[in-house]
Amino acid sequence: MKKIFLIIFSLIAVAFVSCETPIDFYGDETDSKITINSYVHADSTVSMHLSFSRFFLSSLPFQPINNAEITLDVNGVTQSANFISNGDYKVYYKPQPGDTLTIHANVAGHDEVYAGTRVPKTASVSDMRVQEIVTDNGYYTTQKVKVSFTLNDDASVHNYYCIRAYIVDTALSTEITRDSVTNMPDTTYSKVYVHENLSYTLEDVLLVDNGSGLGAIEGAIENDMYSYYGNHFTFNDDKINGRSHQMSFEVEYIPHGFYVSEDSRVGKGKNSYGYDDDYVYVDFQNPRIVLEVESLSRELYYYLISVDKQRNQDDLTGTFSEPVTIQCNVKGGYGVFGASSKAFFEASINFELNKKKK
Amino acid sequence: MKQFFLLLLMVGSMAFAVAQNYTLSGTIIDKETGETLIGAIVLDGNSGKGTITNQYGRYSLTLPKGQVALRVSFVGYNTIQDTFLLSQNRSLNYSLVPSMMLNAVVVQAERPTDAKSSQMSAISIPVEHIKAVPVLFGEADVLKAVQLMPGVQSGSEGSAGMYVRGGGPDENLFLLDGVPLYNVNHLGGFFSAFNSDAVKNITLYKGSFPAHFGGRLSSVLDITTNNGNDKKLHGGVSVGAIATKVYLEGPIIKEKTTFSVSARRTYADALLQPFLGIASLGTDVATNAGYYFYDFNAKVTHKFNDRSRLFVSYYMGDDKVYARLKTRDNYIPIFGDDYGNEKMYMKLGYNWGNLVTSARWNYEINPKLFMNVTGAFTRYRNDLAFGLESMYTWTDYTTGAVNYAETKVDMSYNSGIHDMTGRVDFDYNPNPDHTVKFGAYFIHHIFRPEVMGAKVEMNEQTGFVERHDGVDTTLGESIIHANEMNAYIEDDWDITSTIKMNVGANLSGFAVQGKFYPSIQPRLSGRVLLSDDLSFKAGYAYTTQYLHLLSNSNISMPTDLWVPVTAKVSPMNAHQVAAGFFYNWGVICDLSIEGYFKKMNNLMEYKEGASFWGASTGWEDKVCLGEGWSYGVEFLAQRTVGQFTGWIGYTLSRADRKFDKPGQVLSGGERFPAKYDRRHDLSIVLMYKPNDRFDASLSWVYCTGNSATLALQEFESFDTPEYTGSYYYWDPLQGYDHRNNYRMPAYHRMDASVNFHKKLKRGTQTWNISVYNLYNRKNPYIIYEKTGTPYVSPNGTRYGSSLVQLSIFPIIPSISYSFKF
Repeated sequence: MKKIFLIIFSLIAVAFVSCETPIDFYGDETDSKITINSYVHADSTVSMHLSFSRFFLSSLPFQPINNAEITLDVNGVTQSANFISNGDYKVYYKPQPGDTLTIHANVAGHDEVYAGTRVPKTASVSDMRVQEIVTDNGYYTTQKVKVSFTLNDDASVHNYYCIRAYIVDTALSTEITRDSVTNMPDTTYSKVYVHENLSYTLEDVLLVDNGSGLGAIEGAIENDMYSYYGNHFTFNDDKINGRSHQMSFEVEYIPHGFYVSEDSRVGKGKNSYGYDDDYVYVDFQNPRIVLEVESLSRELYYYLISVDKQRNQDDLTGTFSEPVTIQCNVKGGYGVFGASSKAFFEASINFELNKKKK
Repeated sequence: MKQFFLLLLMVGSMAFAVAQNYTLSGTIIDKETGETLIGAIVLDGNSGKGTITNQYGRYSLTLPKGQVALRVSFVGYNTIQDTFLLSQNRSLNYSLVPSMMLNAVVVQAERPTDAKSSQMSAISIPVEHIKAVPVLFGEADVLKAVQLMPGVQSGSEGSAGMYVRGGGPDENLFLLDGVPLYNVNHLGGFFSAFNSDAVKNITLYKGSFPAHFGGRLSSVLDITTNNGNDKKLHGGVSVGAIATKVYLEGPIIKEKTTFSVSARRTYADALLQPFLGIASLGTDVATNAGYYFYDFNAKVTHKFNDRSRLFVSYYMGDDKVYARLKTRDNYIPIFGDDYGNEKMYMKLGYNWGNLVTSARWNYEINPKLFMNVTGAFTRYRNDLAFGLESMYTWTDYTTGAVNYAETKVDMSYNSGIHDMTGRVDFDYNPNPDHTVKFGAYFIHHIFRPEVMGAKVEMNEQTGFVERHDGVDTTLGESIIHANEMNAYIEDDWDITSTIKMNVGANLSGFAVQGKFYPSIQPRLSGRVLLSDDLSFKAGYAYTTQYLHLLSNSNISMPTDLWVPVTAKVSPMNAHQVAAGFFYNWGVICDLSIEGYFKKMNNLMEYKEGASFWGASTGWEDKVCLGEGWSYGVEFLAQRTVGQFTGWIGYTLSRADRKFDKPGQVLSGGERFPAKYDRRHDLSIVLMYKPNDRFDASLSWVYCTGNSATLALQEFESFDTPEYTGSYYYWDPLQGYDHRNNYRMPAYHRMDASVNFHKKLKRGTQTWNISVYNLYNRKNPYIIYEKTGTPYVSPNGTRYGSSLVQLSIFPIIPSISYSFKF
């Protein structure tokens, strides 16, 4: 009997021994393609980054393309891009909402790639209101800022939006001007972002009804419509087309102050241990919440949504998730050439608890 | 459509227009066991007219008044000849005696692939074949044998998943004694839910479905279980490498009431326990974990009289995973002189499976009209429960106060279906040229696609302060009630001596969430006899399906979710045409070659990036609907007579999908290969039985590798300004040309099995030795990129990562012992 059990156990053990074997890659080792990454901002110079894609088994760094001939066609007028460095190029033109842009890139030994986009109009927002909410559950106090506003959708075009919020303070320099970084507007706020995990609670049953109200099949919006990972919320106007839509969301508020990099702080300070540091703790002086409503071009919207999906698959590991195709609009290559225009709205925050007692 | 109904009307009127005939009816049974014989031939030698028995062993044959030379035959049995004068309706039952000469071989009588049958795209598989085919762990498996037939593809290695003619695994209707079964797999699909000891007859329909079948797009696997021996008690026990099976059958009231029970259970969990005990020795944790599955079949048959029988069937099969983890008292030092005590208890339970119970009543209303009434209840469940309790106590030696912090978490995930079915079927044989079937059924479905519960309780006492907090919530508790109704009529019509046709229609409807989906599904198949042994057959079937299986893994997972058509999600439907030649080459073999084309609509897939695991949205928000095409050619050479039997099956096929509707785009809206699209699929099965003491079998399968989605290129991206407000380059993005763009290496495997039988005083013992994957082929189960393992391509390029495959089943010998009495 002992032998029988030994045999049975051995067989079971053998059966579940897995075997990992390196195998040859059958098929063509696909050639690298030209990748264009260009996030065009209204009223900012057009910048782009070009690099080669790489075969998936390669672990070499991406090769920037420094010898590309790039032209930008703006409403039928062609301009050439200037090489900056390390695959970065700029066209010193500041597109305006309504502009139609087409980019062509030629690199020796490769077929021409091209892409087009249209700079969307700035979103119309009205009635922004801010409500401060303090809750105490016995353990700790939570402070939230509830932001309400009306988004006035233009019925004549299909609109794509991305909203985000952040806190700015007079303790921060209000603007940063960057000249060499691509895919950034020329000037941005230096901002303290709300904490990533506590960021938004969007109270909008129309846009974020995760039950059955969304019209998953017919409405054709669901996952393709929105994402609210991190600190932004991206959606389209399928459900609100042509309407003035009330929206509101809550933002967890960081009390007292914040850590901030030294270069964006007004004045100099010490870190929490009392030493000079790159990152220092700064008390709030006059905190304001900024609502940023970004209008996206169609190409940029689908690209960003697909990037979000590929990086945030349902099961985290991606093992059981379906593969996600990145929605590139670069014909013959990878990447995106898309445009956006932003509208900003501000309101002061006056939590008494936020005022650090001195 | 008008013409179609006109044709049906003509068929009906002709059927009633025959006069001056008398009808013979009765039941054909095995004389030794009393089991009814399905597909036995009853033929009048004088008129050349004949019929076959239905699935209850009943026949009805209307002949002109006069002398009859009746021949009753069933391959493997001695033929009975009966000559008499037919001058009135007669009820004649026949008992066939198994032929000793043919007992050594495995044969069948009526094969749907037979050149003379009007049915095409169907295969009858003898149970003896199923038991003889060598399989994993030597565990005879109905679905594994079916997978070896042309047009049927398995999923991944070892899986019992079925992909018929480019369809999905949810498009197969599994009927157990006429009642649909949902989950047909155990252990992630490595074993099917059907215990071969309980099975009497299996027929697979891959297309040209007769009108009495409805509800699935791609196939019907019709399984009939044993009624039980009505003469004496029989039974058996089988001890294998992974499971033990027992069965028992016999009369309760001799030749009137019989029973048949069979059960199977795996015991890997029992074998695992000592090792878990050893592993937890010396640790602070006591662990108890395991997995097992079982199934249980029972059937009671009662014969009221020759015209009336009652069958009560019960099936229950479950897979169970369990884990319990408990920490022992664990004193840990905390601040100063204080000591704390930490305890934790965790439990996990995961059960999934079916329960089917049915009662059927057969009644011969008159010799030409046979009725079967069925009432059934089906339950499919998929329940996951997770619990965690943690208690932390510590004593403050300064104050003497005992403090504690307690957390209790209970989480659950439940999914399931309850079906209540009422069905009535009629067989009407007005004359030998017509066999009419008609009937209707109604199913009330209760779907519970996803219910997630979470209960968290936190209690704390510090000093003299107590705090209690908690959450108790249920998500997705939306039970969906649906009513499915169906009516059908079909006629198997001998138009001339060479032309035969099966024409019919299935009318169905599905009412759910205030919406009603009707469907009229014409069915047509015909045969032209080109010679006595050669025929040409063609068929068309339109099918509608009101259920979907949401699945995004490569194996059959218990997490696969059965979901209904809803107000938003439309039913699937398919048009299939098939045509082919069939040749009965005497006793040498039967040959067939068949081509098919199938167009499928509203196929369901998970959206890009979605999976079962994501709880952020309901299932309807995770899916999209699209189209599918499949076409191919199937070749089958099958020998069923003699010491050497077996078959060679080959399929050349292609299956594509396209999802391009707005908001439901997959793979850029372009056409892409289906998950189990395979160009070539070859199976060779050889069986040898020279005598009653020994038999052997060998099988070899070869097929094009499964498809996989590999991102062949990676490219840079910028990211949205999420955390820091800066736009920066992040991890590379993966570039897919299209879904399923890469072929894994070809799959091939040889299995062998030998049986040694010995007659003992009280029964027969059998030793079975099987070897799975005889030449230890490392077939790919999954492939993936492995970083840090350099790879030099054939053109000399050196890469930092390599492609690796995971193979799960090397050569696996197994041995089993069985005893039958």
